[in-house]
Amino acid sequence: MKAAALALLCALLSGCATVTVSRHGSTMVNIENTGWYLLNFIPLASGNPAKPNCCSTRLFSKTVTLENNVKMLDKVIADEGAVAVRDLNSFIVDEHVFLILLKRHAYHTSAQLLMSDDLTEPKEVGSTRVLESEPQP
Amino acid sequence: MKSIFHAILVGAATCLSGCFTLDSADLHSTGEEHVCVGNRGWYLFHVIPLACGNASEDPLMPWAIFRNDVTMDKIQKRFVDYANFYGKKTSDMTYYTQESVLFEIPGTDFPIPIPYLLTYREIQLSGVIK
Repeated sequence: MKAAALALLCALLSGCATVTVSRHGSTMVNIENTGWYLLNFIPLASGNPAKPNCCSTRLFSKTVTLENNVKMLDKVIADEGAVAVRDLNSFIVDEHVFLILLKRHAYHTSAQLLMSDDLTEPKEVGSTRVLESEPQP
Repeated sequence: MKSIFHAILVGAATCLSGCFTLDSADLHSTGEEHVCVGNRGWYLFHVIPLACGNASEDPLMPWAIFRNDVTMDKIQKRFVDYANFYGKKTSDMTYYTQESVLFEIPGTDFPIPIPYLLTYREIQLSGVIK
């Protein structure tokens, strides 16, 4: 029973770094890194940005940063062979448990990857229509 | 015992009162820099600012009391000032805002059933400079 409770506690307090790539129409990347903090500042466990999607956790180190998310994005750009990014966007979500006893800190980053084809060939699906400007009086 | 309880309350209030953040990271693949600016604060009756992160460029304290720094103007100004400081242009600016008008003690699921008594507001601006 104690072992099960300990396992559950470990699972609850483990961080997670996740990289998701969607290739429907255009290549979108979503990166999420989460971690748990004691008393708002002391890092307990957070996701391992060196091994995303591997249930790998770093203990007592602050890995939930914009810098680490951008490093993961850099790796995805290299893996996918992208030449540029568009609509790069990040935000933080904080959740508190028992005032400041525990804090779950999550950093989300998303972007659209542009391949060399995207920069040269206009796509029919999802293309942008430029509105005609109103005639000047 | 009473003093310990008061110290815990003051510590919790200090930590939860609000925090201004400006994070940046270089995207080496494209030579761009990704910047995320955010501020959070608490309001009385949704209008009167109680405490929030200090968005001044050279703050004496990390908090601003009875001053509203959780505005798009102040956050965007810090973002643009940061870009101007490095002589770069801004792009991909996106806002993320969150409001909570039913006060609940953080970490619990018991909101006071009177809306707009004590409210929380958070604004984050994400962008790219190059």
